[in-house]
Amino acid sequence: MGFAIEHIVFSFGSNRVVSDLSLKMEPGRFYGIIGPNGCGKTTLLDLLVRNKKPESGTLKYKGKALDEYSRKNLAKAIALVPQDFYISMPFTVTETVLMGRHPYVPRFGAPSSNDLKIVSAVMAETGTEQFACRHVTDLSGGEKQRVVFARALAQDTSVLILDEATSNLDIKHTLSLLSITERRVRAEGKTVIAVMQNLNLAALYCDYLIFMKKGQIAAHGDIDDVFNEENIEDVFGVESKVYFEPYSNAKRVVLKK
Amino acid sequence: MKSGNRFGSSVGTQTLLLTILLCAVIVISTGMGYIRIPPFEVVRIIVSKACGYEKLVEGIDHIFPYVVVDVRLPRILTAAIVGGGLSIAGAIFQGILLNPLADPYTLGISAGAAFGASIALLLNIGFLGIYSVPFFAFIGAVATLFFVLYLSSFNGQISSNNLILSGIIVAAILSAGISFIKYVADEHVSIIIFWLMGSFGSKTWVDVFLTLFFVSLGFFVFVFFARDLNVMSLGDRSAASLGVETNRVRVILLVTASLVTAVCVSVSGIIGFVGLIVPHLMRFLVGPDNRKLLPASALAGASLLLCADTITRAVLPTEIPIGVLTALIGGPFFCYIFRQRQIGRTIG
Repeated sequence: MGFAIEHIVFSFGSNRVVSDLSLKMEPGRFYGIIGPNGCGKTTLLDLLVRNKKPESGTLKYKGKALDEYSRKNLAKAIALVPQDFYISMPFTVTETVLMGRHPYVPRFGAPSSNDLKIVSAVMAETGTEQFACRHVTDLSGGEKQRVVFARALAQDTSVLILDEATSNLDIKHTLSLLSITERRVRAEGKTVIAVMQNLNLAALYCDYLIFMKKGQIAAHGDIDDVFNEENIEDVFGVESKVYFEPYSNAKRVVLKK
Repeated sequence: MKSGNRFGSSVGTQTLLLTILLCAVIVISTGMGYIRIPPFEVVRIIVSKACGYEKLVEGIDHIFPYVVVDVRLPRILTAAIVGGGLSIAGAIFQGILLNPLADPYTLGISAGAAFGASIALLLNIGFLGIYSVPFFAFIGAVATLFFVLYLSSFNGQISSNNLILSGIIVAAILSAGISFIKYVADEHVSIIIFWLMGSFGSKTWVDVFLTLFFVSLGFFVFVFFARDLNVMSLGDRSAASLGVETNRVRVILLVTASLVTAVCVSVSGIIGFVGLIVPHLMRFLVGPDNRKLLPASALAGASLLLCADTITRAVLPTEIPIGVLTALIGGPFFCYIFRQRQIGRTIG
């Protein structure tokens, strides 16, 4: 049992950004959400983590309405890597990743040895340990984004939500971080829901794609069924060619000027 | 899992060192003034009064206990508590507004307090005796806070940018109001100006306990939410996804920090720079973790403002307003530290 979204609606003032959207998402899958700018992708993610509340419709996680979870229990179930990774105070990288354990550490308690173990494992896995003692405010954009990513992994939740979480990373680190999350989907049955701009990366990692357009779902389904020229044209309004590329063992889209 | 090479090995050591420093500053400054009292006799007088153990003061000039307990200590303790209060409020404002340039006065609290005090002084309101002006200052500060909060909240959300902008606008309006009051005040104008520049002269034990109560109350609230505030430096969306009730924490901390500021301003007038530089300096020393930053700021701020007050009271030939002194000493010192840090950053 994962997410069950039924007929949710959300507006900013009079501007409707999500209208009558319904969707089910199961554990153990890598979901990709794609669509043009301003189509409501980030708002949908905000609704999933309860940063925003729908005006109408229901949103359930594991059969229970999202509203019934306490903030803390929600934080133990769903982690978010946001688009913006501005950190205003000069915490060290280790301190920042350790904040991922915030929902597990009692208010006046110290992190347990298990918390510290998870943090150092995640930092080793993401390659952030090489700047463990530096201040996050002194890091480059890409390095900061890796730290924010590591922070979310340290939260060790069954759902990981990525909002263009690799937008500032070079290709090597993009592949490395997405592969880390993919391993968690395959080996541990976790759910990843990722908003992605790069269609070929989406094709490489996602099992299931959700095409969004004007606050609604234009098409959704297994990648083999929906990743095609018609849907890309419908949503983005560009012509393209989609074919299977044996080198990457995935579908691939090519564009022309 | 060491968090870098920061001053002192633990929170305990830092707090102990700063506490010893504060006690030393209190004892030494109590001994200073027109009548000089040796530090050891100051300690004996304080201990004997605190424990009711009369024998300790034997052999000390009989006027000394009166000077220490009734004249100097109320002023000294008020200065220390206000210094601590302004510093922790500054640390909280910087954390909440995600802006290292924020201070306890950013949201127009000082302008509100000044406006309230100016009205009381102009109209010569005296129904609360010597507490009329502080009372009006407090009301002015609190009213300003709620107006700024009202201005900056949309759809139940309060953003840092909106807060800072609203604070600046409201402060500008109030400043114009104060200028107008000064203009029509005639012979009262010097009293208003002097109050605005701050002073710890003629403080009583009532002031001590009043400020102590509010500042310690604020301190406990701040420490309770210290870790949430750490997480909030990641930004609202991240903090919320980590289980922090961002809006609730923000409003509680803003209101508490503003109340602490309002109480401090109402007993002492407007004392700038302490709330800006102390949290800054302490962040260099102990790092940005609010659980370490708050106790360090409270103790260092208390020592610093007390030193400044002692300079105007006992060292300088004539007493100058404390608010002027803190800005004159604190400003250049801050410039120096800031410059050193920038240089250190580009080389290191």
